[in-house]
Amino acid sequence: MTEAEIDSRLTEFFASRGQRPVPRDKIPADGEEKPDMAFTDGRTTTYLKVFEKDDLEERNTLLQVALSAVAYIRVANRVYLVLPKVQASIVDAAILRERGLGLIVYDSKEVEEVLPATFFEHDVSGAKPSADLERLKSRISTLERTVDTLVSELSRIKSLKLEPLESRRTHQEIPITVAPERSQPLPSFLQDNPWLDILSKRGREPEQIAG
Amino acid sequence: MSEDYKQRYTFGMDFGTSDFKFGPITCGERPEVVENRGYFTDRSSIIQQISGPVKELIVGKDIPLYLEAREDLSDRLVYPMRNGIIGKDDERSWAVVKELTQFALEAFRPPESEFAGFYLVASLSAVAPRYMYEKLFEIFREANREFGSVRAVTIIPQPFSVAIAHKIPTCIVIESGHGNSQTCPISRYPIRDAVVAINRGGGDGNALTAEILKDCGYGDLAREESFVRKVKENIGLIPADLDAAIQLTKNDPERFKATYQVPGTRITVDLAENSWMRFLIGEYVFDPNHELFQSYFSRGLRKPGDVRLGDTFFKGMLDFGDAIVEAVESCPVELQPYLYKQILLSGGNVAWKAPPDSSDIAIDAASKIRFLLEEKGIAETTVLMAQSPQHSVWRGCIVYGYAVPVDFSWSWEKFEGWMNF
Repeated sequence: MTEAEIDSRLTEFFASRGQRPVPRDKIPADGEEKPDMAFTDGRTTTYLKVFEKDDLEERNTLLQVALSAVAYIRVANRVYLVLPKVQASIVDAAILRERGLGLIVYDSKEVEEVLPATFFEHDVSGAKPSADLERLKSRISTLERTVDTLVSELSRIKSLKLEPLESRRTHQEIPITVAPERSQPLPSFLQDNPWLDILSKRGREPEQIAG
Repeated sequence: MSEDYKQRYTFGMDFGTSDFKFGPITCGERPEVVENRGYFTDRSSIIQQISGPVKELIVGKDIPLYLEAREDLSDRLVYPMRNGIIGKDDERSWAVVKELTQFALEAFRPPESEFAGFYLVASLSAVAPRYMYEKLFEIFREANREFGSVRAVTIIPQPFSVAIAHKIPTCIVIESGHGNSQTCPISRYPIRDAVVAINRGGGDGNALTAEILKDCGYGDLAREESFVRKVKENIGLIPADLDAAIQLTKNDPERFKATYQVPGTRITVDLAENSWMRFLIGEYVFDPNHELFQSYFSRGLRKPGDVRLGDTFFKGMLDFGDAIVEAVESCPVELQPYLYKQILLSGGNVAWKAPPDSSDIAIDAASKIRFLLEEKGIAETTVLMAQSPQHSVWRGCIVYGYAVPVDFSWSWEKFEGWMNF
């Protein structure tokens, strides 16, 4: 069965469900590799990852591709793996179900849905999801920047009284006698105040007049 | 705890009669200022029941938001330090002091993990009795127990703080507030036995101003204390010589015509031919012994009496010159000349304006003190006005806390040192 025949059969299958193919150049993919086929009924989208017999010579290849197909869920409402019927037995349907992926098998006679895909809610219609997502991302970034600015402004206001405490630390390593070479000036009432010397000797000098 | 830590976390509190000034060393030149008062809310009022639970006692700048227009407002609004002394059993006043203390400490709690409490220096009136120290220590101890905000505390007299802030180790400080005035000699220590207390302050000047307003036809306005205070501040003058000033003003009423237009109102006070009375206000504050005041006493003005508050005897009619002489003469003779040479005036009751073109008649407070001392034969004096009088006590607290060593423990004999918690 050629690739074109497979595509034709799948198109018929989805047409019977009211879905038409989306031209490849109009398939949004949210930055991921585009699916092999996409269908839409105008409200919902379905993405397909189609395997041919030759693609499945190695079991790991299927696993790898199946995992990559999970990413389509961010954009499409339903995602299916499409396998030749004879090789479907190598797939563990439980794993696919857990991930929300559906399974379609085909042979020369028919196309059959063996595991329905989980429906994921998205804003629909072709290219819109990606554009809306971009818009939302942009708005969220703007909001985040605004919040960051507000938080930083609030912290600044809250710390206004405490800022001098930080700068004050530079003074502490200097002895108690007034040192004019301090990097930041002390308040005027502490500068050249003879009481600093007098009071720093409290408890270390003979009795004075205390009344 | 290290000197470095103490200097970083020095905190000052000035319990003034009207304002409470507080803040750590990091405030720089000026502390935070709130009114020294608390408002006891009426928890049973309907408004409060509707608006949800409110604290029983409000302090700080939020008070106006809670005030209710009630006749008992004055009972609910408590000014604990009105005359510098709180009664031992005055629970409401002590509650306000406690609330203000916690409010101040929490307002400046540092975020650093190393913070283990402030080194707190509080300042009280020079005439505060021992039990006030004990009560205040207990309040600080509780603050430390509940919030861990006080590492050690000490309490110093306000005049001592003023001398420290003004960098003068030997001097006389006159601290004159709303309720009373204190004359305190300082010589590296406050000389407590020589303190002379006067039972006269700004409130007495207000009372005389109210009588003058009544005499001049403004009796209806004289009932509002804040209005009377504004009139006193705007028209009151200190005479160099009262008799000469009265004579001159009676002969030339226009020269010292006393008028005051109340801002934002249509009210203008005009003493007209009684403008000479403006000199009575200033004279009364410094010396209430002129015979003219007798007529006011006989008509109901409360004569400042001698009273005992706590351990201190307050003299009512002592003029400021005599108070200085009495204080100085209680000190060693050798020290006396040095005390007269530096007299420092502090407090709102010595902040008077003097018209620049009338220095022979109307003078400032420093000149009045010089005149009073000259009358008593003391000529060699230097009288200084405290710079930034509202903040100088707090500044002195900061210098004291910054400099006094951490291992200098509190002594009840000296009333100095750190009470460690």
